[in-house]
Amino acid sequence: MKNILLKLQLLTLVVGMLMVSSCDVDPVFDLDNPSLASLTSDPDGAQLQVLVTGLEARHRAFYGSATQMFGSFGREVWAYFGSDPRFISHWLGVGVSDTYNDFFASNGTYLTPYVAVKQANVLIDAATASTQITAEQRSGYLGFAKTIKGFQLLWPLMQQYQNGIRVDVNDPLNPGPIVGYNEAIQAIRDILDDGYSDLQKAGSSFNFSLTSGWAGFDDPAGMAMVNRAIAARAALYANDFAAAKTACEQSFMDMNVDAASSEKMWTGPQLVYGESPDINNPLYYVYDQPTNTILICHPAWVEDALPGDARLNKVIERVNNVVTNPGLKDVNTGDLLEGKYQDNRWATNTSPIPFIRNEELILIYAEAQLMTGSAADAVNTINIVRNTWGVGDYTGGTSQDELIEEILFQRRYSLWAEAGHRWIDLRRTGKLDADHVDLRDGGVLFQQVAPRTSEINWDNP
Amino acid sequence: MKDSLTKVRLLVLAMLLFSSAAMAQFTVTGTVTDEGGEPLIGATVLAKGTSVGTVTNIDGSSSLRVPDGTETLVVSYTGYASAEVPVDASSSALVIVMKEDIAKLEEVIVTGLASGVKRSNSGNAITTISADELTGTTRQQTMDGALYGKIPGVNIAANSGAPGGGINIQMRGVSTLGAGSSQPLFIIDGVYVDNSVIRTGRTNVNGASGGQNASSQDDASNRIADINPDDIERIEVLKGPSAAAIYGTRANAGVVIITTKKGVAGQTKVSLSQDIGFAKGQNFVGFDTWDTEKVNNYFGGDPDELAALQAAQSEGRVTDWEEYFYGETPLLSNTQLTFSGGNQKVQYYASGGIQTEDGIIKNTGFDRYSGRLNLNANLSQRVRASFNNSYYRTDTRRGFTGNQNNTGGSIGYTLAYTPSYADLFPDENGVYPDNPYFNDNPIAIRDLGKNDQTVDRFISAASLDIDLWTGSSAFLKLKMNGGVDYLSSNTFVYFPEILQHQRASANPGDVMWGRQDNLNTNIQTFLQFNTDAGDLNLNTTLGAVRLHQESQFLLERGRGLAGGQTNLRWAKVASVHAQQNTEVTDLGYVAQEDFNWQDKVIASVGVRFDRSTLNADQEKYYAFPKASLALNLTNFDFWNVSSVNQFKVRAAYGETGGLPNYGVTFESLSPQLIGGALGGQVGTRGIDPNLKPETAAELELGVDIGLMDNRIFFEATYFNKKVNDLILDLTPAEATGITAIATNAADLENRGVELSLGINPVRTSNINWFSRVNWWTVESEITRLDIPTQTVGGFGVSLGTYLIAEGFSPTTIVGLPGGTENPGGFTVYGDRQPDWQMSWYNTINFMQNFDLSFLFHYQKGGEAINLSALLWDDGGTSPGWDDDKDGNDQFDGLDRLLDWAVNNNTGAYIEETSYLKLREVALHYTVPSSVLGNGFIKGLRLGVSANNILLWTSYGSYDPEVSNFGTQPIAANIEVTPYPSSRRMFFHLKADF
Repeated sequence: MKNILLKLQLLTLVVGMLMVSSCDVDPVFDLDNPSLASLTSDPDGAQLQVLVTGLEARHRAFYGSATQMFGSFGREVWAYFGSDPRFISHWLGVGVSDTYNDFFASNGTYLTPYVAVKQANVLIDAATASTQITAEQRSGYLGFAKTIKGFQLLWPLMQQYQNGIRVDVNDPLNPGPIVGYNEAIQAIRDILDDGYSDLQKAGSSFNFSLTSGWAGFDDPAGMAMVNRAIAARAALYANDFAAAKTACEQSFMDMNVDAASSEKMWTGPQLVYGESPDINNPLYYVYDQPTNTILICHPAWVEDALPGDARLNKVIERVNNVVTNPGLKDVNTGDLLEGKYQDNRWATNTSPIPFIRNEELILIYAEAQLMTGSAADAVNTINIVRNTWGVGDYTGGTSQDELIEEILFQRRYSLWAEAGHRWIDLRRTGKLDADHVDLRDGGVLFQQVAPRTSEINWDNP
Repeated sequence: MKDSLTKVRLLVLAMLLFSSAAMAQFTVTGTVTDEGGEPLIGATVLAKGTSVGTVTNIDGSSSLRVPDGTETLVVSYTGYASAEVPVDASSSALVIVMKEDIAKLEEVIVTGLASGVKRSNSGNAITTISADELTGTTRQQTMDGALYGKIPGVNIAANSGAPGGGINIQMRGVSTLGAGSSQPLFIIDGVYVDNSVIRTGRTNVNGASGGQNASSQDDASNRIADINPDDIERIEVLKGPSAAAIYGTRANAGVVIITTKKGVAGQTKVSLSQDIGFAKGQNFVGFDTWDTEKVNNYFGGDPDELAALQAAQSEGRVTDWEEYFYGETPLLSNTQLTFSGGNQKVQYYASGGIQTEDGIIKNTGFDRYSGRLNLNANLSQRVRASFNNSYYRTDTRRGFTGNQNNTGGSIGYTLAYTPSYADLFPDENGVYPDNPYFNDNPIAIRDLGKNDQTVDRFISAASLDIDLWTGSSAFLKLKMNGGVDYLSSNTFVYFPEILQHQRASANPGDVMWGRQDNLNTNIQTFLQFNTDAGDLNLNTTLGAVRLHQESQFLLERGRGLAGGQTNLRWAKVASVHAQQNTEVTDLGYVAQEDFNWQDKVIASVGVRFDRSTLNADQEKYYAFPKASLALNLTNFDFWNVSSVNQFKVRAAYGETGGLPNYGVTFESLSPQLIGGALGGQVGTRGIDPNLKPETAAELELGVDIGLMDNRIFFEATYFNKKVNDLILDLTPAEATGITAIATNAADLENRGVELSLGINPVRTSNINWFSRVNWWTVESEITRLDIPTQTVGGFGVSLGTYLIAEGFSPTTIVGLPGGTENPGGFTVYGDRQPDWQMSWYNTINFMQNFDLSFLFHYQKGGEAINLSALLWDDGGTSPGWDDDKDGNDQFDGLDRLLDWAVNNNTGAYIEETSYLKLREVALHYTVPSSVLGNGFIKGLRLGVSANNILLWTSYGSYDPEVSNFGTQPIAANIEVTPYPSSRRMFFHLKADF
């Protein structure tokens, strides 16, 4: 009996020690997600597709923020977002006289597009490393990735403007320097040109699929037109009007538009939305609900419009629920400024949004014509837009400055609340001032946003 | 008089007992009582130098046959100084009066995973909390909440007043900057227990995202709240690495060792206790009143507002919203039934408890149902086993307070903008009017919204002790223990489609269903070899430990709900909001040697080697050494100061680890659906392949002095806890699309002093007064920072954030305006950690049967970011908003707001958090046994008590203890209209049968 007990004890001892120590410890990996390395070492088409669609998802993320913040800067909109007073006090410069490092809610046009750039760079690296695709297929991936990368890099540059930005950002621990505006815009144009040339070598179809937002542009030829549309915008921002003109011509620009075919103005590649787990159209708000969280059209945009301008249908008056914000007061009377007009462009919260479209290209073309010395051609082009929206031919003066004012005016209505054109346009033409912007809110006009702390710190360890 | 009555009774009892002088044994009989003459049940009586012993019965009496030649009996009882009584064959009817061990010198405290030492021999300052101190006076909602002010060196703060806990415990300063766990490790009967905070998704439903740590704005509590405090016999707190080194790689933030109650051999004891009480809001801000003048001042005389005010006045519905929402008087009830007993072979302790507490906001509350069975068995002379099992179910209803965005899904936030005359009451059809001042009607949010969590939890512990070999002056033991902690959590967050803000969304109606299963299993096996070598006792322990953790988390969301439905199938849009599966394994080996030379010199050295799958190098073992030395000067022959009965100097050094958070060693993609296609998004987190665990090294020096028979006991401890290789997120240039790479980038140092003075100023038969003052302070400083100065936590610099910079405490609060004199270019506004804290605990036993106790807790200094005040100023609700006390012709509320907004003075809303709280006060009456006689009821105790009854503070909100982001290593003390804290009052009844 004693012996058995002793043996039992010894057995327990041995078993116990074994249980604790000699069991193997299996290495633990992410149980929920694929690792980056698995998609970049030697990816096949299915793995590259994951990165391509991921790039589409990253690509659309800037739009809401750009429209809200740049739109507030240029007084296209007021962000009645009642939960944080800084949407008014900081974005409009009512409570602050200038932006500051890590400015309030400014990541959407800085980090967000750079995250898309990161995704594009990963796709470029992955497609370059893949041995499972043909050279032609690879060019398709590269052309698409570079087109998006060039487009996304415009956003931090628009935000930082003369502060400049980094363009060489592939190695997180060894990024390139912050370069000035001119160098940055040139680098972006080079990336776009590079992508364009890749697309020329990409055959007739892609080895990957794109969402319905790219309908009509989802092959190398279509993507090349999108690439040129973006290049036209970049050339405009670089004041390279000849190039802008050429790029417009190589793009999907279609000047054969009139009032009866005004939907052609909206032609262009779109950002698509859906219900969760997809994301909703960031500009959609249910009509006339009692809420203190809504993006509102600046009243001056309605007040300054030409009679009969069909573009006024982009907004709709809130009949029952005028919105106010305690921080938003008329600087002259001290009364609360009422938000009366809300966005009326989107039928549902899943409506797609074109991120660059024909109407902008036509207006870029008009400006390029003007600046390359063809004022009369410019007026004709402007009139395509005017007649489409029912405001008749242009009858004003034809000096360069008068026509620039006219183009800016048309851009204000044609491109309202489309990721902040007004602010960018006034700034690049040197007209970002109280003569061009209604400042009844008592705020100030920012030229650009102060640099990010992380960027300053990186350069000043 | 009463005293002598009892003595007579005991004498009679004793005379009935019989003593024998026959054979080679003789029998000793006697009674063991406390100083008040009350019998002590279950005291251990041992013949010194033998293993012959017994325990006292229900009368406190016992009879023991001891071997001839026995000269001394050793009597011991938890909480009392052990007594040695000379006996011989003629001894009879001994009355042994035990003295309370005020300084707890006899208490055995841990030094190793399989070894302990008497406190009088300990090289560390280890605080223990007894059941009496924990639950004996009043009723705190959770176990961690009952520790307030009781442990020098430990700062404890509630995150809000919401029912169901949520507490931040910080031991000896800052242990991590957020990479590892900032909360101590909790061990219950040897089982590693889960103290995680489970995501509910509330932050997504009410939009309280924004700010850093967005997901932690769920206002969920840490799961130690599940544990029933009534089951706890004792808590030992290993505050720093010098003591906690035995727990190795997870012990940087300290260890809390909890021992549950056990049965005692002897008569069956049945005990029923009932606490019943109520709670009231502790401290209201007092929102500004609205009259015509105020409407003119705030709304610029808006005629609509004036009309609304007049309508409300004439209809008599101008309401003090604080009183209305936070003014409930909920019932608090706690019922505990325990059975315990057993024989020499098997002892058991069984308990069942029901605690139900509603909150001071309607439809909130916390209920706990618990059951426990603890078994101890002597399987043979040499084998002992124990098996402790418990089940808990907690229901937590925390409602909607704190932060929100664009939803109105926070009562407090909405009230900041809602004047007293707002028309919010539902009409006769139960329709809630829209709130014109904010996104939603807070009454509707309170009545219709749901934020509920149910947790079911099993904790089982088993242990086996085997005497493998016993020699004359040596023994070899095998000790094994292990256990399982399984918890299953179900959460439900719901906003029905009829709510104002839901109607404004494309898919009205929002529901979030969450489920989490956590399983911890751990096992350890130790060999203990103890031997005497002359005057030196040597104790060697060797062992291995293993911990495995698994969890599965799933959060599903449905939007666009069919009328009144909450099932996901009734949602137009149902989706998986989050899913995470995790798995972690730690493995460690331990060796330790303890030396004791005649209780004069006591030393211990040990080392633990640990590996963990949380480390970047999952196979590497990291070493955590420790050593301690205690010198009991009073035990040396040269000591001749008789009034000083203990004078111990001690020193201890130890190292512990802090593991990286799960996931920081992975570089993964996240899925995103877009237009029907599924993409993989490259993350914004990079990885550092050389990442090591954080390590803390602590040197602790102290002295313990007992005077006048330990009636005055003084402990002083200095510690220097350095935390090295702190893991911080290196923020690369954000243009790279990578925002964080976890890397070992900093060191910090915490220096502190802990003083504890216990005195027993009055000890007569009528009054026994014990008083203890604790005072402690800690200073933290970052001594190395390899990455740029950075800020963490909060809602951006302009609303106050924390600075991580060399030479500064990591809990430094900074904000705007920018300045060049400080790193990062910010203005320093204070420090979250207080300058010092102090507590004063008293128990007074008077007239034999009355016990009065109270605990004051004072915190000096410390700052918090009070964003509630910002919202109140913005919404015109702050008290005295349109006063002009400074006479600058501008309303005071506007003054502060503009100071913040225009002058960029973040400091306008940063406030000092000094406070004095009367944490606990209680008066209990024990009905003397002479009154109860020999009836059915053998013991009866009645009492009244209160907790958090008084608060003195200049802090301008509900409670200076606050954390919008929940339990945080750094970024606590940020307030956004939290659930107000409450004071609680109880009546207690406890009967033993």
